Amino acid sequence: MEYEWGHLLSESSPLRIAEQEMEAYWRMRDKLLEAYKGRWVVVARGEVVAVGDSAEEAAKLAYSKVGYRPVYANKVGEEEKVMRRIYRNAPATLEL
Amino acid sequence: MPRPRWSYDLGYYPPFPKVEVELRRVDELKQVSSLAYLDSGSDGTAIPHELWRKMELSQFIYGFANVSSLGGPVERRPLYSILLRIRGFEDFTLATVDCREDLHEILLGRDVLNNYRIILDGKRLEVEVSDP
Repeated sequence: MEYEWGHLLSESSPLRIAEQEMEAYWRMRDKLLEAYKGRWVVVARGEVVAVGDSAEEAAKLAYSKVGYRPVYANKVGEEEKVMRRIYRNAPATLEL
Repeated sequence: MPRPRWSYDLGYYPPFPKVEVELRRVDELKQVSSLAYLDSGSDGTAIPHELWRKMELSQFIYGFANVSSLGGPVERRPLYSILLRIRGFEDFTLATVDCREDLHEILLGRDVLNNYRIILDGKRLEVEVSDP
């Protein structure tokens, strides 16, 4: 995956760390689905560090446990819905 | 109960409803105030890359989203956690924002707007926000 900040993608970069947490989430996903379907899960250092009923609740719990570092959060079973963003107001270019 | 009001920004055509917001990093070490525009057509909130740089948000990635404009290509982008409140309200709420180089203003999407009762008075070009 290429990002516009690709120069920041060293192994210890925040983006790379977050990607590793995402990979860990998806490796655990079947078990997460059994245990936490419908709840927000936060993964840090390769393991689940917080579970909550909202993104905010899970974030507060996660930061209190692991400090302020890149994490990966998602809502188990609804990943595609909650992690999709569409901007209906695309920036328009008007040429006269 | 606070019911702050703002005028639409007449610098846009048609005029664009705006409010004032305060953004605070989740570790509470950085905070900025800014205007923000109400974009109920957007699923999520986006901020300019310049603010990302100013608030040094790189460590605060909270996940990734598949982002697109209508009809545009889908791009996976990092989302950053941030505390946000509309001026006049007491509580900050956590938002996960897309930080974009092609943006020069904060756009509040429905992830933030749905926390409030908002009246868009297009006749008077006035926005009223409350939290019943």
